[in-house]
This record gives sequence, structure tokens and C-alpha cells, in this order.
Amino acid sequence: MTEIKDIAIIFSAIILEAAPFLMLGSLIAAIIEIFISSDAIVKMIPKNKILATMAGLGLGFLIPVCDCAVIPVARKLLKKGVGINVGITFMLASPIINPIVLFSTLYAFYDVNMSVFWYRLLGGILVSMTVGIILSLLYKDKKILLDNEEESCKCGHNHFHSHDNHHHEGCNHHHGNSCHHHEESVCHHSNDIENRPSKFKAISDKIISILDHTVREFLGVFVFLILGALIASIVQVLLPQNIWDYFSSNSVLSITILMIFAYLISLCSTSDSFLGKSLLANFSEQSVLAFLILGPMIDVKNTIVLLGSYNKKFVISLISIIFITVFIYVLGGMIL
Amino acid sequence: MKEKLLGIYFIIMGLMIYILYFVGYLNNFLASKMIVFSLITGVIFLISGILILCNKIRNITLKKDSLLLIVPVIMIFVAGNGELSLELAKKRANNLALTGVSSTQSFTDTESDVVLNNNEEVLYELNDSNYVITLNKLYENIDNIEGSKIIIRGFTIKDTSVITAGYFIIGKYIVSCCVADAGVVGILVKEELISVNDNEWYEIEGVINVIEDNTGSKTIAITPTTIESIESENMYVYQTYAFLQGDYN
Repeated sequence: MTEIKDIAIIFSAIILEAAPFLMLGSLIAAIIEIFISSDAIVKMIPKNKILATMAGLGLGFLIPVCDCAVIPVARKLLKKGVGINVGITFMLASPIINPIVLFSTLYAFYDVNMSVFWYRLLGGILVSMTVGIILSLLYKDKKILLDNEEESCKCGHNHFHSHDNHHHEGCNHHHGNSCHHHEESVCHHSNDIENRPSKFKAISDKIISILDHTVREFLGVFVFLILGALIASIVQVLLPQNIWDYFSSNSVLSITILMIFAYLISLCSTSDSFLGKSLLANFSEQSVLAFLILGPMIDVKNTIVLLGSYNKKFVISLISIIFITVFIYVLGGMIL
Repeated sequence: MKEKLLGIYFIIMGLMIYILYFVGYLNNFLASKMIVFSLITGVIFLISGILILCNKIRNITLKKDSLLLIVPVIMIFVAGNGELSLELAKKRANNLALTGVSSTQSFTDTESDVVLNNNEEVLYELNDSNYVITLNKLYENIDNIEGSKIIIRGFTIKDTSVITAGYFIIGKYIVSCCVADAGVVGILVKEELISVNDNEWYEIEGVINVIEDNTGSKTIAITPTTIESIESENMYVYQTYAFLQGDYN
């Protein structure tokens, strides 16, 4: 019985902690959806693959979102037409190289082992870029996103909102609001030329439109977060005692074990540094580094969330390549 | 109809966050620094729920997997006051290592070095607001604190492989962001005077000694002068960014 209560507590904590960030990610995705056209995004990204991947990295630094919030944002960018290398590099790098996580890592390791901070930063950059480029080569011209009905408006038009230069079919006017004011094929846009709304109405319509998209984005990911959090909390509570003792002495095996551990326990990237620091007592620096690089990039919770947006084959490739790349990076560092 | 249910669900989620906050349980799930984000989310849940009920947000498709949305509501009820079992603390101590016992913490601070100058009259009394910072300071200044007096309250952990033979741990859960990342922060206590029980609450007063732990590293341990059984209290302390707080003491 105590186990059930512990699972419920850990599950609730993960949801309560992740929901605000998921909401933030959904809000950013909604703003991208409403205010930035696909053309504008594609124009912003350099044509050169390496430079484009670095642009993804830059986005990861500038948009301070954690591993939960980054998924809807990355999905939106990919839907808007950015390359896989850009979207995936952004998705993997952001939870490690954003300023909040850098700060917590610096704080945790400042007086213990600063090399962990630097190698985590470097690993976050190199691994995310490598995985992004490899996947863009493997999935060139292939569809990786699932068709998600939740994101589509049911107004009968095959596009959304408030960009400046488009028309609804059948309506001879521009509009500046969400399309959710349609009923059947009749248009009831509130900014009809004959019935121009007040400024206040226009702003409130815009806010409702943003909230509308935020709710859709949020729901599209939240159900998968629930499933992921459920699995993560069960693993956390039912993990046997002393399970890692047998592996900590073998350095190569301990790297693998801490990678699996990071994958299973699904910690937030802003808090894993403190656990990583305590793991230094029993595990090698390289193992802890693997734990700190892999965990924010992929875990059980995010795997389930990703499966709700990307096709299964792509998710399996993504997880496998992340594991292999992190392992090679850490092992390479050990040999050097 | 399904949309209306979704609106009601959002309102329930928003209200649950605020109920947890006002009855004081939200602190048991989240670290203080995260609570403001949770409260903002509660407001967004409530506004979104109202907008859905007022048909301002509509045409949202609910699929079969949307049934999962009910799980957080049930789980928050089952979670009750949000206090983890003490059995889990032992497991955490084994699998995640002990934050305070096995490693030093945080930024060193010249001011704290001045304070800790082998003064045997110094008494460290740990409470929820200074628990982590004081333990950090003790572990950082391990060479200067032998002989100092200490009073600490917490739950006990015995009989695990991470503890030096003849000692037990008194400590609390330490939370960084939420209880999913909770570890155990504490200090070794020499098992003498009375035999304490596992997973029970005590207040211990004693003298600080420096010993070698079972990995051969230097650590601190209390030789108790009094051990008193107490009622259970707040089991969580929170990771703080001490150097940002200005006052390290």
C-alpha cells in the first residue's frame, strides 16, 4: 500500500512540475503557429546544413525550455518546415544548454568537479548536432511527424489564422483571428469589413486565439506525458535496492548502467545535476557525464510523448542514435 | 458534450492546484521555487476551462487516449498529503547515494570559513530553513569542525550498505525541483546510548567527530549525548542556492 501512495506522490509531483513547462512550450508553439509563417521560419534558417544545425543549437540556448516543454516547440518548428537537423538539434540541445540548466549544473559542480560542467556543455552541443545531422540524412524527404487531428481546425478551411496575407476560400476578406468562429461553411469572423471590431475586441480575440492553440498543443502532449510519468514513477518506486552496486566498479558497464538509469527515472534537466553530483561518490566521472547528457535528451516520459507526435520508426532511431552517440562521446573522453 | 467535460476537467485541475496550495500540501510535491509556476498554470487551467464552457474554445477532438486525463485527478487524491514513505528513503539512500553523507555541497564561502575556526563552543542547531546550508557548511569545513556541538532532527535510516558499520543516519528528504528528484540529506550518528529504530523520528544532540566512511573518505559523524524520540514533522528540505541568499549562516 505504501508503494501505491509513493507512486501516486511521485506521479503527481512529475505532473505538477512538468505541466507549467508544458504549458509554456505549448504557448510558444501557439505563438509560432499564429504569428510566424512557415516561409518566414524557413527564410531565417541558413541553407548550409552545418550552419542550419548551429542555428538549431542557438535556438536551444535562446529558448529556455526544459525537456518537456521543448517537444511541442520542436514539433511546431518541424511542421513549419525547418529541417530535421535543425528541429532535432534544438530539441536535444535546449534541455542541456539553456541558461537555467547551465546555471544549475554550474552550481552543483562548481566546487566538486568543474570538468563535469564543461564536458556536459560540450557533450550537449556535440551529441545534439551529431544526432540531428545523422537523422536528417537517414530521414531525408521522409515523413516523420504523425498526422495529429487535435492540431487541425475543424472549420473546413485547410489553414489557420492570423497571418497577414491570406484569404479563406469563399470569404472575400482578410482575417486576423482564429478560425474557430466558423460554423459549417458560414464565416463569422469578428473583423468582417462591414463590422470591424473595437481594438479591445481584436486584442481579446487574439488572446483567445492564442489560448485556443495553446490548449490544443497542450492536450496533444499532456496525455502522453501522463503515461510517461506513470511509468517513470512506477520505476522509481519499484526499483530494487542496491541494484547499481554490482555495476559501479566496471567503468564501461557503469556508463551503460547510468545511461539506462537516466532513461528510466526521467528527471527534469534542471534538477538532475544534484543527483549526478551525489552519484559521483559511487560512479566514475564519465558515467555521471553520460547520465547528465542522456537524461535531458531522452527518457521514458519523453519517449511516450514523442510517440504521440512522431512515427515509431523515427523515435526508435532517435533513441538508438542518442544512446550510441552519448556512449561514444563519453568513452572517447575516457580514452583521451 | 465531450468539450464541456474537457472544460470541467480543466477547471477541476486548476482548482486542485489551488486546494493543494491552500491546505499546504503543494510544498510536499514541489520545491518552493516551483510553486509560483504551478499557481500560474492553475490560473491558465481555470481560464481555459471557462473559455471551453463558454464555447470560446471549441472543436477540440477527444480521442480514446484522452481517458488518461483522469489519471492525475485520481493520483492526486491517492497521494494525499504528499509525504513519501520512510521505506523509500532507505531505497533512495542506496540507489541515489546520500547527498550530504557522501559528497560535499555547494559553493565555498570565505565568510563561512571564518566562522568555522575549530571553536568547540559553536553549536549548530538545524531547522528546516538552515538544514541544507548548515550541512553544506559542515561538510565543506570538515577539517575545522571536530568537537563542535550539533542538534539535528529527522528520520533514521539503518542497515544499508551505504552506512559505515556501527552508525545510522539521521536526515530528511532533500528536494531540488519536485519529490521525484528527492534524495536523502543527513549525517551519520554513532549507535550508542540507546538503540534507535529504523524509519522513526528523533532529535539528537551530540558532538561532531570526523571519521572514515566505508569508502575510505573523510566524513562527519555525531557522537550523541541525548537522543529523544519525537513526533514526525516536515520530512522535506529544499535545495537552495546559498550564495544567492547573501546570508550563509
